[in-house]
This record gives sequence, structure tokens and C-alpha cells, in this order.
Amino acid sequence: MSTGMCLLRFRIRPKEDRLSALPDSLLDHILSFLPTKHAVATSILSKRWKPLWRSQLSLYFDDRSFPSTFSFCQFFYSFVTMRLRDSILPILSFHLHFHYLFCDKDFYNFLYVPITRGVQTLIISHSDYSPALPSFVLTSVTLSVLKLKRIKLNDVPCVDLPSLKVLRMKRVTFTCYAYLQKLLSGCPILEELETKDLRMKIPNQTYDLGFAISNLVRANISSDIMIGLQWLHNVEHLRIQLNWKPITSISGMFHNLTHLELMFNFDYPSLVILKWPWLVKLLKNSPNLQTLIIDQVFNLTRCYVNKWEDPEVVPECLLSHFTTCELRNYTHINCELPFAKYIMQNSRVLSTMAIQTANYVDKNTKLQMLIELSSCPRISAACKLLFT
Amino acid sequence: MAEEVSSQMNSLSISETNPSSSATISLVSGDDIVFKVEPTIAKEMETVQSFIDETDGKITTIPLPNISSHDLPYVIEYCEKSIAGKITKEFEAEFVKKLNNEEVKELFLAANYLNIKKLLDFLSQVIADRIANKSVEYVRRYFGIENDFTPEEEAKLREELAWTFTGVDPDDEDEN
Repeated sequence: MSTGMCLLRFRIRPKEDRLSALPDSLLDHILSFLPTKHAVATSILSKRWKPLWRSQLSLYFDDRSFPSTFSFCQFFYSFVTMRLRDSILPILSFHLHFHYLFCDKDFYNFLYVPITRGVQTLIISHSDYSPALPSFVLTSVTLSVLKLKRIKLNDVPCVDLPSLKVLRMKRVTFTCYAYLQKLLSGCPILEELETKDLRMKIPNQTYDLGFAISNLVRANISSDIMIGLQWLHNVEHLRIQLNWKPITSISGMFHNLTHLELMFNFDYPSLVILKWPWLVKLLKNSPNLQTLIIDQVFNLTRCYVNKWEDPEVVPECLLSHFTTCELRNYTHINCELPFAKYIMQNSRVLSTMAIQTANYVDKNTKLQMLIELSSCPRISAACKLLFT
Repeated sequence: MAEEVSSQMNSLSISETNPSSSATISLVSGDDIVFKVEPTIAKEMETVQSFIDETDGKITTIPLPNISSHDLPYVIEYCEKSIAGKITKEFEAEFVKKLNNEEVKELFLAANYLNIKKLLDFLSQVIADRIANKSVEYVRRYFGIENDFTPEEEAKLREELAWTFTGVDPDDEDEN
């Protein structure tokens, strides 16, 4: 039957009737967006709804909706591991957000269930203290997405995550640097890495993975001096937030890099002094860069100003690929004008120069900025200046 | 808002077939209002696109008897944002703020009917958020579910599930 006939066959029916007449697959779909506790509660709606939640392949637990650790454990053990859910049904996605302090054995059990049922997406976050991740999680062959927040890795005997493509870690504590190395070395097809505020119990200065993560496409690194830039040589899309100092010195090339986002946080004078030379080096080593976005946060006074100096040789990317430059929180404080000028003067295929002024810049200063910028010569005839 | 108005203006000014604008697709709502959309919008709606593909692009006027002229502009607005890559949390929050429960349900049905996965997922989340922590009666009314348990069966289930009904929000009558 053609789609056209299908389209015409439908007639508007009374609204409530239409919604309750939905196929189970659509009701399942809605249930998959509900926390598991609420999904289980829908079994009281009607005979048709009673068994629906049991076929859910995505489970989401938030212990804040339970009055105590005991009631959460009771719920988990009785409704998930025991009688009510089919014990051979896979669990594709498992999300555990908790704030209670569970004993290691319970935490182990919570995670053992999804890992033994072929889980592909595992999200574990604690709102306060960092429980230790059971080591068996790190040898799952099915795991494709792993997101950890406030979790400790203090036992990492072996990492083998052959299917892992996405790894996000926030406030994850590693006992030692070797564990982080081990983790990243054990993910051969990793495509996306996001880290924020990683912690090391035993500080160690030899931050070297010894290789670049080969399939990595996207990386988003926030305030982590633990993640070496040399690990990220293969990325196409890179976002870095710098709070302390430029992550590491730049040595090799970023041949695949097309999109670069830099967020500078000027809390620390040392960063300000290094900013422009570091950026120039990065531009030089990224011959295929197309887009550069620079955002900056200011907590500093003018006394830390450092000078922008035009590089002797124009970076290769500006001659061939560089099309978009965006400067956010633009001010006069840190040589942004000479930088913007340089970019417009030397980027042959630039199509957009977008400047977004910082909130506190007053109208007159804004007008002055606009006059300065629009009078800058542009080598690319197609270049548009967007100023807000 | 501007986009919505312009789609509606188009619908009023352009009649069913207009040979000069054969590149655009006409979507005809259940109440016979025509909405002209770009072919890229139609691509977001799998049902519409497969209809166009089946007729080798010859037919560009598509009847959507199950979707009213009230709901279709919302669907078009979402698809336009989606193509522009501008579906942000802020946009979604604003979008859903405009919708009452009935409209959310109607759009959910429309998204399913048109097979727009992103919109379907988004509205599933909206519905899930709107029924989480609500009383059994409220959720039954929301879905139009007839309670077919005997009082004994229901009492037994309520006892078993008693812990799930702690902290239920009071019913919000004027919403529904």
C-alpha cells in the first residue's frame, strides 16, 4: 500500500481516544523518558499498562525520590533484579544518579546488573562524595557510552573497552596518573572525550600517554592539566577551557583539526602572558583549521596586559581553509583588536568575523570598537563583519 | 513567532497549486489550510518525504488529515530550527512553555504520524515530565485511560506500589 493511501485513510478521532489508542511501542517510548520509579508506578493505570514498564530497555534511577538508602535498595532489588523484570531482558541504557552513601557491596550490585545484561550506555553520577567504580565496569565489551561524575577510580587492574566511543568524566578522581593512562589506552575506538576537573590523589608530573588517541574526533577539555594536548593530535573538533595554564606545550601537528574553541579564564596572570604565543603556535600547527572561537572570562586588572605580535610567517590555515572567527566577550583589555585585525588582514578565505562585546562595555566604547574594526582592511572580499 | 506568522500568511495567500513555486511543498492540514514549506522541511518529516519519493517528486501537495492548522505551524517551526541546527535547551524550554497539555499531546501524535524522531523524543520527554509525580487519577485522565481493574485488584496493586506514591504533587486541574 502506498504511503499516500495510508495518509488518506486516517480520520481525526476524538482526542483522548487517539492517545489511549497509541500502540504499545509509543507508550514504551514515553516510559523510556520517565525515571524507572515512575515507570513502575504506571502499572496501576490499567490492565494494558500493567506489564508495559517491564519491557523497558532503559533504566533510570534517582535515589533522591526515595526516603532512605534502605527503601532504594529494596526497590532496586525487588523490582529490577528479582521477580518483576524479565531476567533475560537486556538493559541497553542504565542511568544511576544518587546522593546517598551506599555500601560498596550495594554499589557493586547496582552496576553488576546492567554490565551483565549487555549495557551500552552507562551513566553514573553522585552528587557529593565519590564512590569507587567497581573494576568489572572497565572490561565491558558492550559499553559504548560511559559518563561518570564524582566517581573514584582507585582500582584499575585492567581496562578493555573495545566498543567504547564516548567517554565523559567530571570530577573523577584517579588514585594515580597511571590509571588515567590505562583507561585511555584501553579504549581503542574512542571518538569523543570530555573531561572536567579530573583529580589525582598522588600528583605526578609525567603526563604522557606516549601516543595520541587514534580515533578521537571530538574532545572537550575543561580545566584539566592532566589531559595532554599531545593525546589529542587526531581530533577534528576541539574545545578547551584553560583555567590554570596552557595545558601542555604544543609540539606535534593537528592535521585533522577544523574546529577549535578556546575558553580563557584569566584568573591566573601566568596564563595571560602565555596566551598569544600559545595561540599562534596552535594556529601554526593546525593547517586545516576552519573555525576558531575564542571566549574569555576576566578577573584581572590591566596590569597583566601582554602584547600581540604578528607572527613572522602567516599560519598555513589562514591562507587556505580558515573561514570563521568568533571572538566572544570582546574588550580592549588584552590586545583583541590587533589580533582581529591580523586575522582579517591575512585570512584569504575568511567569510565571517563575528565579534561579541562583553556585557559591561558601554555604548560609546562599543561604537568606537565598531569603527576601528570596520576600518580594518580585509584580504577576503567575501568577509562579513558581525558585531554585537 | 515571525516564522509562524509567515507560514500562516503563506497559507492564506496561496491556493492549493501554484505552478510558479513548484519547488515548495504544500502541506494541507486536516481543516484544509495549505502551508507552503521548503523541501528541506519536508525532508525532516519522513512520512511526507517518503510520499514525495514514491511519486518521484511529481506530487507536491500533501494532505495531512490528522494534523490541524493549529498544530502544524509548531511542527514546521521545530523542523526549521532543527535544520538550522538551533535546537537548544533554551529554544525547547520556550517552545514548550507555549503549549498546554492538549497541544503537547496533539503535537506528539503529529510527530509520530509525520515520523519526526527528534520532535517525538523531545515531546516524549515533555510528556514524561508532565506526568511524573502525578496522582494515578491525573495520569489516567491525561492519557484517557479507563480503569479496568476491580476495586480489589486496584487496592492490592496500590498496596504493593505504595512507596511509589509518596511525594506525589497535588493535581493541577486547570492545566488539563
